[in-house]
This record gives sequence, C-alpha cells and structure tokens, in this order.
Amino acid sequence: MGQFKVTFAGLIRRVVGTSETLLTLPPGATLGGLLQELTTRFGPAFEEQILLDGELAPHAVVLIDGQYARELGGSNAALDRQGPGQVEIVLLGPPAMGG
Amino acid sequence: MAVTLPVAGVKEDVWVPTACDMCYNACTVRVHRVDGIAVKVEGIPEAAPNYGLTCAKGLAALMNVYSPNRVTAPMVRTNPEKGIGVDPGWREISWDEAMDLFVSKLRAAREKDPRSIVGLSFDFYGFHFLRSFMSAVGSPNMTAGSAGFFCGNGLHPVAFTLTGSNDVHPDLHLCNYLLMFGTSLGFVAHMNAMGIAKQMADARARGMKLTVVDPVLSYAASQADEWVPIRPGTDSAFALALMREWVLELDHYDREFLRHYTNATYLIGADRRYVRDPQTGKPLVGNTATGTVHPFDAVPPEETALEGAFDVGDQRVRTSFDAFKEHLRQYTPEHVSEITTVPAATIRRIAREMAEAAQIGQTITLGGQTLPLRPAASCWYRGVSAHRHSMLNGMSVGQLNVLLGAVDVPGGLLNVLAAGPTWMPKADPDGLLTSGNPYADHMKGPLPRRKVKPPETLELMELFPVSVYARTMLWLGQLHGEEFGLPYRAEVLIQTRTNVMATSGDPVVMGEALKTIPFIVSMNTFHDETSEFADLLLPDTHALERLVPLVSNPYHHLTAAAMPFEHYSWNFQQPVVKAVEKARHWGEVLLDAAGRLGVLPDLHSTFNAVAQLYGPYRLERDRTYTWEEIADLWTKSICGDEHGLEYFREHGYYKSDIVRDVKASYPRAFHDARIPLYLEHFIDAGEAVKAFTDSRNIAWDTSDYVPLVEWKPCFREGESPPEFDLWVVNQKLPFMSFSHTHENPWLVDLAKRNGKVFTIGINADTARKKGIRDGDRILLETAEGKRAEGVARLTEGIHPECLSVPGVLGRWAVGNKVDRGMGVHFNSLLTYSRDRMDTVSAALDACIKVRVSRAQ
Repeated sequence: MGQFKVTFAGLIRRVVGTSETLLTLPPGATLGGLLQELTTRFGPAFEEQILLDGELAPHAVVLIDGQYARELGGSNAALDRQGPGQVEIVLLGPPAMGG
Repeated sequence: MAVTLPVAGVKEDVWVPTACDMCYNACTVRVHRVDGIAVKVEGIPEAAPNYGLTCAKGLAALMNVYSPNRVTAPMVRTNPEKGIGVDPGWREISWDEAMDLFVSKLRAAREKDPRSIVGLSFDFYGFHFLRSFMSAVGSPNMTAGSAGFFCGNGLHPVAFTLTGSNDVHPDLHLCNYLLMFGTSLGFVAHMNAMGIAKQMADARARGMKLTVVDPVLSYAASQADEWVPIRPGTDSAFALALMREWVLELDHYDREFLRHYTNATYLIGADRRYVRDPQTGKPLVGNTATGTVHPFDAVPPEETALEGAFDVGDQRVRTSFDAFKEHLRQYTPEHVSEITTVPAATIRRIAREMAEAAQIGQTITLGGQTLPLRPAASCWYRGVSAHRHSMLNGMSVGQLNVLLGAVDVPGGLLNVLAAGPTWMPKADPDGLLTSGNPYADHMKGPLPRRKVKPPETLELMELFPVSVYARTMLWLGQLHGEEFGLPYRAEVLIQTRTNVMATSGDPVVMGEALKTIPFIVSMNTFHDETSEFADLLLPDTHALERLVPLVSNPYHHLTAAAMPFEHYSWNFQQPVVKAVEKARHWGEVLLDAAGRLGVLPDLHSTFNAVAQLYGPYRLERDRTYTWEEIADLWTKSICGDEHGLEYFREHGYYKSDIVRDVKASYPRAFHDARIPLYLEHFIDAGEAVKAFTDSRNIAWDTSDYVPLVEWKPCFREGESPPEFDLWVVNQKLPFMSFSHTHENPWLVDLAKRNGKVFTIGINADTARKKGIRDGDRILLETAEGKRAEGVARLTEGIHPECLSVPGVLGRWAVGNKVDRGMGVHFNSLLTYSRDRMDTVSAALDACIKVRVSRAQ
C-alpha cells in the first residue's frame, strides 16, 4: 500500500474544492487508478476535466514526485513505491493564442 | 553587452542586446545606449529570427520610449460614465492604492465566480505568465497575442489539418511558384516578418515566381510577378477552380501523396461518413489488387484504391476522392470567373503554371534523405480568413497544396512547429493527423475530435469544436450569455496592451460590452481607446525597459519557429534604459497581485506547468521568487544551466547547437498520420453543435460543417442592397502594427510622407463614373447606417468594385496626440453580430459594402 499526497492547482480547484488530499492506493497502482479514485471522490466532473478518451487531457498536467506523468507513460505511469509519494494535478485554462 | 570606445564628454557608450516588441515577432536587436539614453536600434546579424534585419517599426521604437504621451503613474477613474470619447477623469494614485484596489476587485470576483475574471494581452510572449495567472485564479478566460479578430480563424485550423502545426509557411529556399491569397507574407508582415522578408527577397532573386491574389495592389502584390485582382470573399472559388483544372482537365495532381498521406482513399457511405470495419472501428479502404476492403492501415498505400466503388455488405460505397472529384465539377473556370471576376483564361493559365511548377514525381536528396520535391505552394491570411465562411475558405486554399503533394516536403508548404527535435505529428484512431508538439498546447486543432458542451468559457469555445479559438465571441458572450446558459459574466477585465476597442469589431458593440464589466484594469504604455474604458490605469514598461525571459521560443512561438536548417534559438528582453517614472511591467504587477491575493503557490504550480519547467528549476509552491529569479530558472530550464539570466543579459539570445534538420523541416515522409482531405469529422461536429443550439432555440448556422469544401458568398440573398455597390477592403501597412505603433511620431510621419495611408483608395475608372476626383472628400455609407468620410485617392491599383482603407486609422482616443482623427477606421464600418460571423471558425466577416458619394 502506498500513501499519496495529491495537490491540486489551477482550474481543477473549482471542481475538487480543496488544495490537497491524501490517498492510499494498493500495490501496483497506476496514475489511471489514482485518477479513478479521485473521480469516485470528487465526481464525474473531475474525470471530465482531467481525462480525454482515457488519457490525460491536453491541459491537465500531472507530476509524480516532480516528474511529468506524460513522460512516465501517462495514465499508465506506475505509482508503485514503498514510501509516501506526491502527485500534483494542475489544470490549465484552455489555450488561446494567436492572431 | 558590448562597450564601444568613449568619446569626449561621454561617460557611457554601450550596445545592449534585447528583443523588439513593435509587433508580435520579437526580433532580436541591440540598442545603442549613450549616457543612459537609448539612441539607436539595429539587428544582430547572427541572431535569429531576423538575422540582423530590422523594420521601420523596430527602428522607431525609441520614439515610443521617450514619448511625452506615456502613461507614467497609476490612475483611477473619477468619471463613472463610460463611453466612446468620454473622458475618464483620471486621478493619479500611488501604487499601493492601485494594488489594493485591483486586488480587492479580484478577490470579490473570485469569491463570486473565479471565471468572471478575464485576461487579455497583446503580448505573445506574455502568454506563459498570463495563462499561469489566470489558471491560478481559476478562470479559463484569457487570450494572448491579439484580440482574435484578425487572421487566424481560417488559417490556424487549416494549418493544423495539413501539418499538425498552428501555422505554415512556404519553403522559400526551394519553392519556384508561390500563390499568395490575401496576405503580405514575406513583405514585413505575419510571422517572423523580417526573417521571411529576407527569404522572400532571396527567393525572388533566384527566380521564384510570385503571384498575389488580392483585391488591392498590396505591398506584396506590387512586388509580385503577377497581381490577380479578385472580388472580396471569393478566393475559395478561385482555389476550387484551380483544383478542378488539375483533377478533371489536366489530370495533374499527386496521386501517390493522396494515397499515402491523406484520407482520400477512405470509403464513404451514402450517409457521407466513413465506412468502418465492424471489428476495429477503423475506416475502410479498397484494395485495387483484390477488390476487397480492409481497415486503412491494413493495405499498403500503393495497393490502396484512390478511386472507385466497392461493395461493403449491401452497400455500394466509394472513395472520398471520388466524391471530391464529383464535387469539383461545378467550379468551371467560366462559372468561377463570374464569382471572382478573374478571367477564365487566367484561371486556366495559373492552374497550368502552378501544376507544372510542382514537378510532381520529382525527388531531391537533402541530408542523405531522398524526398519528394514539390516547389509550388499556396499560402493565405486575413484576406481569406476574415469572412463569414472563413473555415471553408482557408481549407480551400490549403487543399491546393494537398493536391500537389506539396505539404511538408521540400519546396512546398511547411509546418512551423509540428515537427521538432523530439517530436512528430501523431495519428488519431482514424489515422488522421494531430499535433505531437508537447510545447505547443496553446491552441487546439480540429483533431482529435472534441466534444460540444454547454459553454463554460465566455467566448463560447465549447460550441466551436473544430476551431482553434473563438475570441470574437467573447464580447457577444458577455452581452448575450444568458442565451447560451452561461452562468456568469465578466466582473473584472485585466487588459494589457491589447486595444480591443480599435482593433476588433464595431467599437459601438465593443463599448457596450465593456460597459457591462464592473471593473477594468488596463496596463498600458499609452492612453488608447480601450484604456479609456478602464477603472484603473497602470503604467506599463516599454520593451526597452523591462525584463521578459524567452520572448521567442522556437518550440512554442509560431513567430520564432526555426526555418529549415536553422539553429533553434531563444531570445529575451532586458531593460536597456531605466523605466519611465512609475512604470512597472505587467507581469511583475500580476506576480505582486498573486501574492496579495494569496494564490502564489498555485501560480508557481501553474507556471511550472505552462512553461514546462524541469527538476531543480521548478518553482516551489511555498517560496516567494523575484521576477529575476523566475527569469533565471525559466531560461536555465529551457536552455541549460549555463544559459541563465546572466548569460542572456550578456548575449541577448541563445543559439543552440540543435539544427532544424531534414526530418523536422520536411516531416511528411517520416510519419504516417494522414491529412483529412475529406472533412468527415466536420459532420459529427456540426450535428453536435446543432443539437445543443436547437435544444436552447439558439439561431446558429451549422451549414458550413461539410466534409467537402465549397465556396459561399459573404452576403446572403437580399443582405446587400444593390445601391451599396462597392466593397471596402482593409490592407496591411508594413510600417504599422495593429494600433500601438500609431503612437509613434516617426512612423506616423512615414505614413504621412507615403501619401496613401490616410486616404481612401478608389479605382480611377470607378471614381470617374461616380464623378469623384482625386482629393475629393467622399462619404461611405453601409446598409446598416454606418458612415465614414475621407479623402479619395484615385488609383489603378485596386479592383474596380473596391475601396481600400489601410491599417488601424481614424483613432479617437483623447490621449493619442499623434494621429488622432487621421484616416478612416475600417472596423467602425463592420457589422459585429452573429449573423456576420463564421459559426465554425468564429471569424467576423470583413466584407463591407458601401454606397459612396462626394461629401457635402
């Protein structure tokens, strides 16, 4: 079992209503499992904002112990660890730039 | 920083490297400073993206720094009445008072609904910080780069569709025939204005033929081999006629490209949708050898049927290219000549010239790679895009390149950001092209498919599933949000140097929208038409007074993209001179506001995410940082530990060892994501938009969500009474950028000496028929009752059905002491309503028809 401190920043704060939460996940858990757990806790609006077709939405930035989840396999990123871990979930505003 | 030899009496004589901000391109420059005074600007020959070249705007930047008309201190509005030409009654206050007021308004708005805070900035390079701040306070409503009314609606989604990048440019190193529609690319306009101007000049010198299609003999057209005057809003018909000639008459198009790299082979059914494999859900294609059908990725491209019909179950289905060919039949040169006024013989000749120039079948070896050579391309911009059918217009012109096989191959139309050192375009489940650039999420492309949802953004972006943005809708969302079920309105507008009142739609409508926003803070260097609506006016720094790291990021900014075989380079802005009086850079003001608001931890997290800071360079949530510390961490994270703030202060730019190689420059042959020539995804998108708008009884035109591009007129039947018989066309000035260069006396002097700028151009024959003489004062009137007066300038350089008005003139801000009231304000003639917009791309139609008469 691994305990994770999950920090929320950006637009997702309005959905979850808190800046952080603690989760305990079973061995072999993945980021996808963690996000499912958070969906259970915070409702389908969480999943709708963070995921697109089962993968991280373009404007959802997730870090696992300071490393970008996208570079660790996205929702398949392993959270398998002995000690406590930190996950940061940042939802940015939609992109808008250009003429 | 380079020091030169002192002369008698001079205590300091240095050149300071920095980046310009007189348009959005951020050219690398160095500034000569003598005894603390900036006295000259020039380029740095070895520095991207402009390689030593500087335009008139950049050279004149000094006059903005030292202008006596600068906003120099925080000011609060005392006149509660707001309106066009209404004096705000500014009263100077201290920065502490200003920040207390600003933060109290932010706090109140956040408590009510954080989405009610809106942020707008002109600065492309302010994007990272503005987006971080807006995300940290909890609002999705921000935009950077312009007001969104200009050019991109019918450009960026098409660029994504063709390449996976938000912009495209012709390969001026190898292109031999360039057909430009409604753009001055290469003539000190658009992205990388000076770098591409040099490339254009070199291309012309080596013999590239340039044909410009434009109602006006623009600066580009005046330098071209051929100018093709065209009726406004008809470029799409012209493009479709060229394609018809290639496909149905000349039989000259790139079949192999279509087979390998597009969805032209995908089979479609009677419902216009892909016929899909029941097991995998993948679109089916036909196998020419066996006559059987298979998922698109199960048949070698060379065996895939580009044309023909196949039996699938009890359906007889055909390739999407068959449907495309049939669709083209209606665009005969004679028919299109009636639409465009371009002679049919000219259409046929240009079709033949361009097809021959494409050298279909030829190859070239570059860097050891043998690639298709297609030295012909078409490109386009505002003249095509700023119309009611913007998306279809842009797609039509873009598809010229597809038929010639001239996308992302040597000589053709190239992506700017889709392929880089570590990334390539990706395929969606249907095998279609999507962006793979991890640094460029600042725009959405039409693919992957997006869901239509009840609007949450003020610009109603959720109702534009194939557009990149919908900023023209922001003001209509503010005025009419209840129609869309929008649960909030703007309560606070943060506005930094984007003059939406002058550069967007009809200022009367804009003003009505601004008046509904309870608190507007404007951070500006000059008083302008938008800051006149502000409640709080804060003095912004000039580019030569401020520190902004990485104003050009070639992984992110379309304006600074590395061209083929160039090194990836970054530059930054640093203070060259002391800031005027109490001016502060708006980024630092927002950092200050975030601290006072208590959102710094979130700001650090969002900034890390937006700027993609790594490892030790990430901002910690529970620390405070100075602006300089953030600049240092940011530059080190992107450019390496040895390239921090001190490096940039010394050198002004960082040229990496990484070169944009063959694969990144010409990626087409290196990935298998396909271009959708057939826009099947538009069908579902349109139906979803229709379902939502119908459910709320919203009048919303979804008829442009079609899989095959077509031409449609700007005005519906009866919308333009015949007495309003002339079109008014807006054109780009190479020495002006949006509205903020108009505060510059050198540039305005240049405009005056030019002799054409502050006039209304009218075709000489047309003028004579109407009894108008050169120098007459004339009155323009639209069917909607809008009026403008100006001085007629008779010229052969304009289509007989058109009048021309350049730039953003006719300014009215009381604080504008330089060119107030000079020339005609084009946007004041626009009708800014949903009826005149493209509900697919959110473009506002710039087609204006007027009645012209001599003024009394």
